[in-house]
Formats: sequence, C-alpha cells, structure tokens
Amino acid sequence: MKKTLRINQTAIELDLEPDTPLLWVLRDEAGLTGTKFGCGIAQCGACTVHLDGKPVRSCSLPFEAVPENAEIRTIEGLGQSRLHPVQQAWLEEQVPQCGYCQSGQLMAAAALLQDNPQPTDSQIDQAMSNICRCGTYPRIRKAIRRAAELQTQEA
Amino acid sequence: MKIENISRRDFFRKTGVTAGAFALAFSFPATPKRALAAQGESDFIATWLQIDEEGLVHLWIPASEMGQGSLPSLAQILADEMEADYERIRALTAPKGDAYKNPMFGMQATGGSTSVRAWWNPLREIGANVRMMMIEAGAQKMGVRPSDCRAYNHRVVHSSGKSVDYAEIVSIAAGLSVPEKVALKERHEHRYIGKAMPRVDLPAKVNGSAQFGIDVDLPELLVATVMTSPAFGGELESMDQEAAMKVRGVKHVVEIPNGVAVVATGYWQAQKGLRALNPSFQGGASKGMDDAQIEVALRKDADNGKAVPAHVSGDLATGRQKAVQSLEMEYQVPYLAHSTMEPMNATAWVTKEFAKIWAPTQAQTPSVMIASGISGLPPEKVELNTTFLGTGLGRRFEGDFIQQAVLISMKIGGKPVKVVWSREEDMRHDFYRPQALSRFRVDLDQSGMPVAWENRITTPSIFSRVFPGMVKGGLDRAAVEGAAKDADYELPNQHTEYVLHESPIPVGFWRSVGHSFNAFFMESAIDEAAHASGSDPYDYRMRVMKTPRLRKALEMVAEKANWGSAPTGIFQGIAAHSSFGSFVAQVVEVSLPGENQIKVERVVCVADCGTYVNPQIIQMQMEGGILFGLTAAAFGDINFEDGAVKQGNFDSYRMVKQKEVPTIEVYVMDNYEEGPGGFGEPGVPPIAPALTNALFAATGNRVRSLPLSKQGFELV
Ligand code: FES
Ligand code: FES
Repeated sequence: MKKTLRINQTAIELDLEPDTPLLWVLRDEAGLTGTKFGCGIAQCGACTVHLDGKPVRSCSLPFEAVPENAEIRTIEGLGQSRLHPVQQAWLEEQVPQCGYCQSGQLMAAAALLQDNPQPTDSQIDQAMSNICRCGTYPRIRKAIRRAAELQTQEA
Repeated sequence: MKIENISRRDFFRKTGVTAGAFALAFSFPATPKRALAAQGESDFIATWLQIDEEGLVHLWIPASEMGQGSLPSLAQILADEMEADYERIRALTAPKGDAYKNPMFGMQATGGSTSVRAWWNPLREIGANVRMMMIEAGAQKMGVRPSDCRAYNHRVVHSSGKSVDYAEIVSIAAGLSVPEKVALKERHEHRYIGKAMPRVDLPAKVNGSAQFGIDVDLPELLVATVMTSPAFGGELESMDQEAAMKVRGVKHVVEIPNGVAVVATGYWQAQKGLRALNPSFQGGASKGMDDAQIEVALRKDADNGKAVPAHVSGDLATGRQKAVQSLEMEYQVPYLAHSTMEPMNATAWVTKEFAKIWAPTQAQTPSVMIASGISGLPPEKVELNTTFLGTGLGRRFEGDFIQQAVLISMKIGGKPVKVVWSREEDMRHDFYRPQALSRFRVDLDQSGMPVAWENRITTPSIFSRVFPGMVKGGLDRAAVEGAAKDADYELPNQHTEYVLHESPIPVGFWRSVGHSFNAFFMESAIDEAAHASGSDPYDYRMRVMKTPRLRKALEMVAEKANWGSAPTGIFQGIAAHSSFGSFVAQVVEVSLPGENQIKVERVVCVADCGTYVNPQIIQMQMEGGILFGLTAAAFGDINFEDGAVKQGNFDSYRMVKQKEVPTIEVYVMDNYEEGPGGFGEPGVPPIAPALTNALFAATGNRVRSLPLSKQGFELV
C-alpha cells in the first residue's frame, strides 16, 4: 500500500504492508529511532507520538489507519529550533535515568499540556499512563508542573 | 595501574579521534587479582581521556550506563580532578578493552553497584595526572614555573593572573611524560564531586538522540526476531518455512539453540514472518511443570533438602534455655522477571576475519568470550561496542542475546544482523529472580531480645550457573546475603543455613539479588519479634541493631518521617538494610481507602552511601529502587503452566504507574570519611518489608508471602 506521510513536517512516500504499525514505519523506514518499542500492545507508552497533536501509541496504529494528510510528530520533531518546555523542565528536574521510556513520556506530557495547560494531579495520573521501569515518576510529575509554568511564561 | 601518554602512538590514530590532540591511556597489571578474568585477551591499551584541539575533553567511561548514573558519576570524578569546564566534557561508554576491567571483578562488566566504588580511586588518579600535565604544559607556554601555577576550570592560571586555556596547550601536553606522583584534591577543592551536577547523559535522553542497542543501524543491516521453546530447554519440533519465506521482507529462517529466528528487512516483517512460520516445540526440562508442582518441590527441599551452614555462632540449645517465647515464621517470595524497558537485543557482524558487536550489555568480557567461542575467532578479533542500556537490572549480565546475534550473523553468510526480541519472548525467556522460602525460629528472652536465631533459606542458586567457582561447600553466598554473618542485628546463637533448590527454571541476578528477598525475610522477622515483645518496631530495631551506620540512618529516617506520630488513618512501617556497601532505612506510610485496598502515601528514605559523587543521582536511584521494589511487592509474580511462563506482557505482568506512586522523600547522608558505597541496588531491599510492616500496623494482617496482589490486596 502506497501512502505519503507527513512526519515532523517532512513528507515521505512509503510503500508498505497495510498492517505495518506506525512505530515500525517511523523506526525502520523513516530512521527515526527516538520513538521506542516497549511492548507492542499499547500498554507501556514508549512508542507515543502525536497524530494531529493527539498522543497515540504508534505500536498499535497500523499504516492503513494513518490518515493520508495527518501531521505526525515524533520526539525528533519536538522542540526542533529550541527545547520544548517539557524538555527543558525534564532537564531542570533531571528526570531520565536509562532514558528509554522518556521519548514516550515527553510526547505524552507535551500533548497533555497542549490540551490542558494547568493539569491537576489526577489529570496527570490520567494522561500519564506510560510505564517507566526506572521509576522516574515523581520527577515526571514535578517536571510537568514546571513545564506548565514555563509554558505560561512563554505565552 | 600504568599510565601512558599515547598522544604520539600509532594506536591513538586508530581510535578514530582527531589527531593532534592529547590523550592518555592506562593499563592494569596483566594478572588481575580475581580469578574471574577471561583468558586470552590481548594487551589492549585503552584510551581513557583525550583533549582535542578545541579543548573538548572526551572521556571513555568504563561502566555500562543503564540508568544508574555510572556514566555521569564517573565523568564527574574525572572532570573534577582534571579541573575541566563541565560544559566542555563529552562522555562515552568505553569499548571493549582490558584497561576497562572493573578492578572489583577483574573483568569488564557492570553490576553489583560497584562502578563508583571500583573506579573512584583510579579515575581520580587519572584526572589528577591530567591536571598536573596541563599545569606543566601551561607553565611552559607562559614561560613561568609550574609551581607558581594552578589549574582552574579548563585553564592554567599563573600567580600573576595570566592564564591559558587547555585548548592552547594540548600539543605541548601531548609531548610530556606522565608525572611520577600526583596529589589528589582535598575535599574542599572539589568543584563537582559531591555536588548535584546535571547528568551529562541527559540532554541526549530528552531529544531522542540517545543510542540504545535497539537503535543500532548499519548499511545492509537485517533484523531478526526469535522464538525459543516455551518450556526451558525444549527443541524446535516443526515449522512452516515456506509460509514464512512468503512474507514480504523475510530473507532467512535460521535455527538457533532451542528455537528459530526469522531474519527480515525490519522488525515488523520479521515478526510477521515468525507468525507465519508458526513454530512448535517439544520437550524441555521444565515441560509439564506448573505452579503447584513447583511449590511442592520447593517445600520438599525446605523440609528434607541438604542444609549447609551459612553462618553459625554460639549454640541454639544454650540460647533457648533463656527463652520465654519462641516465634516460628515462614516467609516466601516468587520468581520475578526483570522486564527491562528495552527488550533484549544485540547486533552482530561476524565474518571469517572479525566479529563486531554492538549491544546494550552489562558484561563485556563474558560477551567477548561467547562471541569468540562461537565464531572460533580469537578474542582480540572481537570488537564490542556498548550502547546505552534501556535498563539492565542484572538481566543484561547474561549473554544469551549476544550468542543469538553472533550465530545468526554467521548463519546468514557473515552479514550484519540485529536481533530484537518481542516483549513476550523477553518475559518468557528471562533468568528470573529465584523464588525463595525462609523459615525462622526466633527465641526471645524476658526483655524481648533474641537469644537464639535459627533460619533456613531454601532457594535456587544463581552462582552455580554463572560463577560456579564461587560456590563453596554447596553454599551460594548470594542466596543468603543479608541474612548470614552480614545480618544487621545482634543475633546471639545464630544458625543460618542454606538449602539448594534445584530447578530447570533459569535464575539470574535481579537488582539487589539475594538482598531482594533476605531483607524482606529479616526485616519482617525482626518486626514480628518487636511486636511479640510488645516493643515499638523502631525502638526495638535500635536496641538490636549491630551495624553502626545503619543505626544512624534508622535514627534519621525516624526523625524525618515523624515516626510514631502519623496522622489518623495513616499507618507507618519501617525497615533498614545494608547492602553493596551502603546503608538504607525507609519508612512507608499507607492508608486503606477501601476494602482490601492499600494506598502508599509516602516513603521516607535515608541513604548512607559514604562518600558520594552526586547526591542527586543517589536520590534518583533511591526513588527508582523504591518503585522497582514496590512493583515487585505489589504485583510481581511469574507463574508457570506446562513448564512455560504464563505472563507475556505488561498486561499480565504489571508495573507501578504514575497514579500509584507515593510521595518519596530521600535524604542522602554526608559521610565523606567512609569511601563510596553502591547506590544502584541498595534502595530496593528495604521497601517490601517497610510496606508489609506498615500493612501490619494498619490491619493486623502479617503478609508473609509476596506479592500483595496474591494476598488479596490491591494497590491504588
Ligand atoms: S510499545 Fe507501544 S505502548 Fe508499548
Ligand atoms: S527512564 Fe528508564 S524506563 Fe524510564
């Protein structure tokens, strides 16, 4: 199946089996390895990217279900010219340990803050269902609050 | 340790770093103290540090970075001693090389919370050498006496105020010989050591550029995925090779030990190929076994197995004469998977001339030996590059995934291949944290003090497989660690013994190893003794505690957590345990929001890790260790059916998520006199008992077998 996808504002033409998950399109076809594979069944969130600004678990979104003109954003496209507030907050709070889950965490957090600039604790719990085996959760929570501040300052 | 200025050596150019720079190499004596060293490796001299013509400092760090912060910690040590500008250092994980052998292991490997402990002195010495050589070079450049100069933040500064940047003097330094003796900095001179410096590995971890094993790419690289027998040790029975080869992108089907690999243009294609291949398996040592049988076998060994003494002091019978009460307790923990966030993977390119490997591994020396063994190439022809590890947790101390990559590359005609496991393969082919059963008889005197301590620990042996030479007289020290002579309490008339439980289920190192269960057993037993004697669990521990540094940590945690004054509806539990050269005490506070629901509200943790390089990294490791231990205590349970692991993914093997995470407060004690302790593992052991002790305080229900989910408790 042939389709053109817009990934981080660049159009790429692809000819793939319709059932290929977007995750593997990104990693193996587009060479964007920042998006990670953790479970393959939409459980861990390591593969989270934005589809038209909404967070999706790309391991469970087949190529055929990605709309032709959709705008896909990956970690590589987050804060291209300068750090996105979540990235800056992540560094300020020293969030990552091994780092493997963090692309997904950052994409989920960025989508949350876009939707809801001042999330409450329970909204954070709701939106951030990603797994971190290193246990960076307390710092993620703090960094989301910090990113919310940074975002307000910028606006 | 031998230090050499290799700036002019041929070898230096081969490292692929710009010429014209200053570089130091170090080598260690050829015969390491410990017998674990692999045979036959070349006398490879490894670069430790290089300053290029822009003055950028490149550091080769001799430990795998899996989240624990060894890479940034070790970089911080070097940068401090050499007086580098923190912004101008770049740290890389070192490739394979004898010089990078961990001095505590005698081989190149990362584990046992040893990185800072093992490298603290050598790296400080290396840094101090660089500092001295820079001062010498700077003095030459400025035409002044070195004794009138000092180094500060990437510059050599003369007493007149005149100064030069390191970048301006690298070519002079390149021609200098290494000083005979160097003075290490005094504590007050440290500018980075002891400070919460930002981790040097984090910028790449927030923009997607950090390279993990799974991200390795090479020209013409194929991707393989594997399926091995669900029952351990079983063999491939049948498969539909034709169907697999029809799948678009599939290139090869290759048999591997106990299973099969499908090699394709990408991971998805390989997975689809594997599905079409539909392999079936037969036999296997664990075939037919289920949870009930495994339980029966463990109990049979606990009842009748051959017990070997782990620690014996005094005499049980004599002690018991003073007893007024006797507690008999039985504790148990299940098998656990590592579930590293990044599934197992490795890339290999093996030809008749060379083997090149890229892998997220904790065990470089053993991996090289494995590759050499399979390929028949001498170890010096095996190149190994360590990527970032998407957690290691001890799982990446194993070589199974490397063995597969090497074998598959050879079988497809010497082409490069990346093997990537599915989560299900990863979950079902782990080297599990062994199950363990611990039986106690603890006798207390009038005042509640232990007068006889009998403890039998029945569990499989990890060392028997990994380092059989370390099992002496049938005793696997890892099985009894934290409960034998190294117990933190004064236990007169102690009789602690080990019973080997043999099982076809593979077991391995799991973050904190034997401490992960013995801390639960010991700290629960002590808690029971406290309650049985009518004492407050904290006061009781202070009375019986033998380890001075742990006592201090305990004292501080009680103070920080306001022990004994929890608000209504909040219940506290306490535990303390020393491991890997560090001393950690924790208080857990729980509430009970609904029937059989348990909410962990807060964890207060005090860690004495001796001298520390970066207190924030220690905090992060305590937070992570606590949540790793909490996940295990709440949910962790690997089950078996027909000899195979039932769980396959995170839906059936649950991890703690954001909504269940308590407030965590970590206090790092300042203890510079003591030398560095480990910090990757010591945060794990106390959390399970602190939690179940809190649960006892809340409900009167003593949880003696984990996980909580199996006891009907739900973490909310
Ligand atoms: S890999 Fe997609 S949710 Fe885990
Ligand atoms: S930082 Fe390692 S899994 Fe999240």
